[in-house]
Amino acid sequence: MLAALGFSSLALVAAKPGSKRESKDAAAESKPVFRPTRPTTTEHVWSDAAGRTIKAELLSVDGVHIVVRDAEGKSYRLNLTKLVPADTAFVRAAEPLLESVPVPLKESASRVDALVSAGLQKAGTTRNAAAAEDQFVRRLYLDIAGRIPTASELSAHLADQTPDKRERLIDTLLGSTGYNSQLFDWLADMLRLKDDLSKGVKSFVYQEWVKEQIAANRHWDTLVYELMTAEGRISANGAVGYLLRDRGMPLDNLSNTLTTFLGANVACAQCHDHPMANWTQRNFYEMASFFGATEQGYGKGKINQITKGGALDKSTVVTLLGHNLARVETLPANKLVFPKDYKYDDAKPGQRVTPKLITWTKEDANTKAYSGDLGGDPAKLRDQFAVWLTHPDNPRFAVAIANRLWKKFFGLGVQEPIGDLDDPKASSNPELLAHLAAEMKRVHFDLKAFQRIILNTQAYQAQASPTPKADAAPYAFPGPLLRRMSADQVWDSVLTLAVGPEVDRFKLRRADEVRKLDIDKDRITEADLLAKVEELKAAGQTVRMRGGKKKKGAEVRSDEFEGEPPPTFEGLTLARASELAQPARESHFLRNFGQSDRDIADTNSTEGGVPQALMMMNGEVQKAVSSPGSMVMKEAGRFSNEEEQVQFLYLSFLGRAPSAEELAATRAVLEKGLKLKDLGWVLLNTREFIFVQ
Amino acid sequence: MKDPLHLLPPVSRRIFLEKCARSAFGVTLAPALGGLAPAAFAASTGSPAGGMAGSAQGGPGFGSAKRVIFLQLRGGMSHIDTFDPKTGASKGPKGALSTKAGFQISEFLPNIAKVSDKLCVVRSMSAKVGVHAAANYLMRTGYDPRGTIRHPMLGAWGQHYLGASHENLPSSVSINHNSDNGNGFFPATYTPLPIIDPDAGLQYSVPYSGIKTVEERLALVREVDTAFQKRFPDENIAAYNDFYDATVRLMKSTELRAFDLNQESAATKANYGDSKFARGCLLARRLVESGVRFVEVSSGGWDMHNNLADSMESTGAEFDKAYAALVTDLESRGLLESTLVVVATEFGRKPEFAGSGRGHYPTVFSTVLAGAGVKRGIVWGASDAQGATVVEKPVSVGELHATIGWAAGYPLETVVNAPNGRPFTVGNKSKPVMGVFA
Repeated sequence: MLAALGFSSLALVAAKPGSKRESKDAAAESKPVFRPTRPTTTEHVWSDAAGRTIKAELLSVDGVHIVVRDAEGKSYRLNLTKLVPADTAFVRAAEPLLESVPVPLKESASRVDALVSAGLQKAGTTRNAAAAEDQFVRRLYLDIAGRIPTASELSAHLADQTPDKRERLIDTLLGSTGYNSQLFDWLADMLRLKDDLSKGVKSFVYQEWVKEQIAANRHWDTLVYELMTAEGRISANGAVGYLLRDRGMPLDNLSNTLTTFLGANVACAQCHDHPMANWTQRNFYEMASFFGATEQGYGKGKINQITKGGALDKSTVVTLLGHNLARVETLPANKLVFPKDYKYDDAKPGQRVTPKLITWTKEDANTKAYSGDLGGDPAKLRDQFAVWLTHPDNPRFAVAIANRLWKKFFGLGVQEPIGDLDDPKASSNPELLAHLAAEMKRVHFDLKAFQRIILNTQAYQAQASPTPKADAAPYAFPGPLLRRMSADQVWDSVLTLAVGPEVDRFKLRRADEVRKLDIDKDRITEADLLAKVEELKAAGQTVRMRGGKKKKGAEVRSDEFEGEPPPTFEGLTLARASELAQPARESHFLRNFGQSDRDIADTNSTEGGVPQALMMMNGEVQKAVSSPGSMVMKEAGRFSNEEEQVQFLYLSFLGRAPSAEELAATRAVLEKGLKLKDLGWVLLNTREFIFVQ
Repeated sequence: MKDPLHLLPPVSRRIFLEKCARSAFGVTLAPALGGLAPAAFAASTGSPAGGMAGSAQGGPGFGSAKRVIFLQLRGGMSHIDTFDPKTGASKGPKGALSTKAGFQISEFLPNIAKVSDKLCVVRSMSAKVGVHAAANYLMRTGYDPRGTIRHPMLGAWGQHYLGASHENLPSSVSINHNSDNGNGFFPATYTPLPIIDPDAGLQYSVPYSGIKTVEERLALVREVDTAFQKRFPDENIAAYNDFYDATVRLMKSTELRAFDLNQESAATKANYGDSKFARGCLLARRLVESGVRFVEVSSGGWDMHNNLADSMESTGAEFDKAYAALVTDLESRGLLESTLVVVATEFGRKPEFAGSGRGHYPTVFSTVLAGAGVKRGIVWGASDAQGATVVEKPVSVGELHATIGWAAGYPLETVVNAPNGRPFTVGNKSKPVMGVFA
């Protein structure tokens, strides 16, 4: 199994060598136009050597034969060797789009369960009992929709008597807007999404693009491919945000790319040969060379030039020009050279680096992922890298995202750490991990379809286990781990109590602020800027970004929301974490509870601390929840007797009814003078509230 | 007694530590890590005496700083207009004062001149980066910023090597500015506690409905939580219980007064001056006095591209008054011998004027050390006549960090492997400047 996944050795062998090309010639050519090659449809015009053509959709591949279907629905079996080479290239590229062999949901879930059970058996243990229905529903809401269920959502599910209600709830939640928020928060940590790029340029269009991909359930390979290959201005194409984010540090960007999408820990090799793994600095530079003809530019000089003695003030120029100059583009030549302090014998400092793909085993290079054109054409470099990166045959792409999603639901990856899968011995269940990767490929990187399988397993639906002790054997997944809610889950859950489920509705819209600044030109002059300012003036708008300076304490401005703005409470905007500043300001509840600063990937934290406890006991948030205006308090007030009120609050905060003892104890305390709002404080401050069981 | 501000390691942290142990030391770390770890660390690295005293780590100044106050002057303090005055073409708007310590400092700093006999002025700082964010990061962590790792500040290193500095109070505090994730790759609990407004003290530390009500509520919390906690004997839940206990202790404790500047007399406040930086310095003194190991106080407004003369009269004067008062106050309380006060900044400013100010200049700049076994009334290193290059005893930012770490008793040679597997030390393998220690 291991060998099949390419884990058996870390030997690095050369991929198909790229054809040499004089960089001088390349430089002499006019500016190359970068064209991504990955098709989005399987429709194609097929040509044979005789020049005959047929426009038809690719249905399946069988060795050298393909089956296609034309617009009239007629199918043909064609021999690829008789067709032009470009058709073969198209088939290779389009293969990921082909329909997979469908497997019924129950069957795929039970295959996963069988492998988990095998691991449990090997570890001499068994699966936990099935989680109680109320616990399970609360967990499911938090894991999929990112917030706790309301009392009525929970009650509705508990009252449902149909046998397939869990399966239906999973589907309902995967289709909810809460899911979009939750997945955005998850990706934001992984992709290090932040509002401010540099030089005052905002990443709003990029964030909106990510949200659109999530809402459309864009498959992971396509999404990542687009991040790698996007080209153009940030004001026109959000997907360039990924590369633009690390302007000036392309090597760090690549290091993150390899860690995030492939679980290849190459941080060391950026500066020297990896002391333990087989990564060399040369390998790293050869990979970086795929981005050697990529420019993430801002053009500071031009801003100064236009500002000096011009008719526009500097801040207008910086904002307007900045958002139009911030772009990713392809240069005529690959500029990457080995660094000045390169100390190995195989290359000299300053020498040009020929791009070359890394491999993990000797066999890797024979797979289709490595079969792409590796000519040195600067205009194709990034595309070649992206095709390889996101190819189903890439030894790591599927397993890395499958392992990450597993961790999202179980609290721990099958292999840890998720950013370094180079040591195959670190996998707690190699067969399970290989199967998850295969499933990810079978569903063509459809993240929702994959999550649906995991969520329907008995392994996920079992009771949670406490955190294993430090010296314990590798965790064999008798159930998910008990986890503290992530920062966004705590915040979004608190808002559910204060505002109600309507909180899912408030949608931040800031991309338009950037988009309106777009000037569709390569070289921008002062006249263009003046014209844009006039155009905006005529439309009653200004150049100033609404996402700019804010009043102290405010996350975003209320007029940045689509439709009705969210409520505010003592300076806090009561909208979900995904709809606030990215990241939230450092003193915000979200940051206190562990939201990442978005500079380093995967650094959301679920650790506690005294400042958290202070905020939970004495801060604005507990006031927002227990104040008379909060949704949960208003609803509790509708019940006429105290027992019902208490029951409602338990259900709302903890997702369960109080036991007889708890009810008695609570009523005794209320008799002594504490009020219902105090009960809100109490329930919010329990460990049971903040931990996901 | 478990360290209340240190969370038991979650699984990911455990993996980090195990990995750390596997790859760097080849042994499993003692479970006490994060508590009182130095002995375990020294033993695992094979250091001879298994501890600090008498081992290779010992020597002049080692461990002399029980606490550190790190004053970060943001924007880049002009060395020529403060601690390294020049004549001739580089001369600033004001001349130089002769001090009783025998060296000169700028007329902008008359109060500091009076305490010059307690200072060790380092005039030979040198770095390469002249960009604010990157240079600030370097000065606060000893490392250049990278997109793949966050480096810890000196306070977090201290918590890692020496454990928590106090039962109820945090081990490090960041005043007037966020710490910008000063925990680095260490657990989030090592993040310096931010105090954005020194006058307001510790945020959320006062319950709005009284401590008695809080305790009544907490009694019910425990009751409600009983069944859940019985079901999950979980170390992370136990850690949360500890946090709540520690928080309540803190809310009730007299130590909370450490954050309350109202406890200070009007005369003392007047000594420090009326600026936010002054309040920060006074709060820093209160905190280190109460058991906080590392306090950073930020001062803004040092990026003097324009109107340098005016800015030095305001920002510079505030610094002059507050810093001199801090050193004097610590001395009079008998704390200076065991407290290291560091004046740091991201870079210096150009010898030549551009308009009414000076541009960024990392090639040479000044920092100041005072207290904790550091020689008094000396100048370390020198710049040339223009203040343009270092001509004697250059000191890098890494060496400054190693020097502070040495004074604070950190095992400088003990490597820590971050979660991404890369090795780090205090000061990035630099050696401490031993010549500054008495």
